[in-house]
Amino acid sequence: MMRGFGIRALWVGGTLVLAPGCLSGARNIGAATTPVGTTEVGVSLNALAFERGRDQAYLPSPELTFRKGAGENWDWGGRLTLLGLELGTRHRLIEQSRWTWSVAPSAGIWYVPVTNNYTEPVNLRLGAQTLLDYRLSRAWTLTGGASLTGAFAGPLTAFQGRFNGSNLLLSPGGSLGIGFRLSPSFEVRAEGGLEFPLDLRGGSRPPSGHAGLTFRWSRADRR
Amino acid sequence: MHGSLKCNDARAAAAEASGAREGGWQPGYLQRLRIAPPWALLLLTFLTGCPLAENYTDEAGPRYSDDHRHPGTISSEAPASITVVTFNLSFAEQVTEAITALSRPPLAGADVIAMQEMDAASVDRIASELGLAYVYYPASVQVDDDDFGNALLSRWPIVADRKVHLPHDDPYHQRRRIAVLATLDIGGTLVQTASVHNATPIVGLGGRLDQAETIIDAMEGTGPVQVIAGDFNTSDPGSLRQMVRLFSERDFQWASEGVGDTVDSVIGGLPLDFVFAQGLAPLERGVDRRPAGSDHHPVWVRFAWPP
Repeated sequence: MMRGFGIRALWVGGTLVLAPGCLSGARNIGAATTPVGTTEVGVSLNALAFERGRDQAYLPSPELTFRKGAGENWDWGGRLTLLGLELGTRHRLIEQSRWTWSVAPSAGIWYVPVTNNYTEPVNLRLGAQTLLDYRLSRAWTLTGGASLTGAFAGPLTAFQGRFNGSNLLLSPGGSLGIGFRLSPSFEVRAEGGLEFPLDLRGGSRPPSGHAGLTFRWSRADRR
Repeated sequence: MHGSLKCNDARAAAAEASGAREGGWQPGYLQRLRIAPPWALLLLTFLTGCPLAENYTDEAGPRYSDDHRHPGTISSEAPASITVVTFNLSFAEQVTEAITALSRPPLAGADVIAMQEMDAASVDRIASELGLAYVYYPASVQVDDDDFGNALLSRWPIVADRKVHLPHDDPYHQRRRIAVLATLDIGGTLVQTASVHNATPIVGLGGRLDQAETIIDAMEGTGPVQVIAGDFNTSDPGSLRQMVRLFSERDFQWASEGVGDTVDSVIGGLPLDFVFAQGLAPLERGVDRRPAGSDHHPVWVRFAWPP
């Protein structure tokens, strides 16, 4: 019994550390851009639901996030997993007293040692998310998001011109989050979302989902 | 250290000056270039370093077969039971130990032996020593230049056989996996058999389930009595459950259910090798855990006969 538990723990631990980043549609951001001269760093603890074999599987996925103000209406940033990185910008399009609307294009690359149903060792994601903030109060902000992501997943041999086993996916998705500002420089954000992967050669796949908490700190850059 | 830096700086300055004289690179470029090659080489090695596997992609071959049965091993009468063994012999390196294991109870006298990770010479030697007919198809060439494939050895005539290519080559070397199917004539009853070697968990569970389903599909409609045996590489959590469920949904019974772990590994025992059957009633089953020349232990099932 203990041996079985040990094997399971080893597998789950290894998968947790190495695998799930590329499966995560979690961005854990709101529509409000980071002010110029400010850097935000965050820690996200997400739970992922995804197709494994012919069942759903669930795994935790820790991520580090950062954003840096770049202009009056835009910032840039990304999220980092152990073997993956996604970078993107966020552009504020409309801001009113209670509403902010932004778009956030992003591109990411992940290495995953083992394949899953439609992930391979080399995973590229290119997509955009539109975000709408509704400020409930000075502390609380509700965020709705819609995204469209294209993904390529290919074997490592793709670098040698062998693409056998590659997957091309298009994933529309949506998310709902709520942020609570504990202090001017510290925010806690909860977010949940779904993606509906469409294998461009094999039809639709079961949805994947995420839910998690992000703790985000901001500070003014040194001059 | 300080001197070394000076030396390097001087070399870089000289190189940059030389490049500038030739009207080539901008200052600073060489410095980046000096740093880049080791990283570039490492990246290049990482991305292109995996040698591609040499697969046997032919639909029908290469094929090896022979009949080493002799009067002592040929039975003209229908048996009271039949024994099926599956054994992954780990690159077929310890054939003598395998023959010893297959010659002692409870494996001795097995009617069907499904073997994996075999090469032609080793299969022929085992069949010859045990007095069996065999068919063997290699799937690919291994890094040691030996063939790597599956075999079915039988105490009964092999009346038909074929190779089935499995989907989902591994993503690092594009190594192909196959199953070997054979029709045996056991006392006038045709039995469809398969020797299976699924991909390792580097290929995800979905891929390995597709591989198993390819074999089931290939055998569908070939007859009411079927045995699928081999190494299904179900070491990752949940994979055994999903694999058994797939076979169950396709009307196969997990004939070797309950035998326990079949491989000793650094992370402990693993249940990887199974026998699934349709149209046969298992009487006894087990794993022979005595040394047999492999990290896998032979799994055996005795079925009631006639079906």
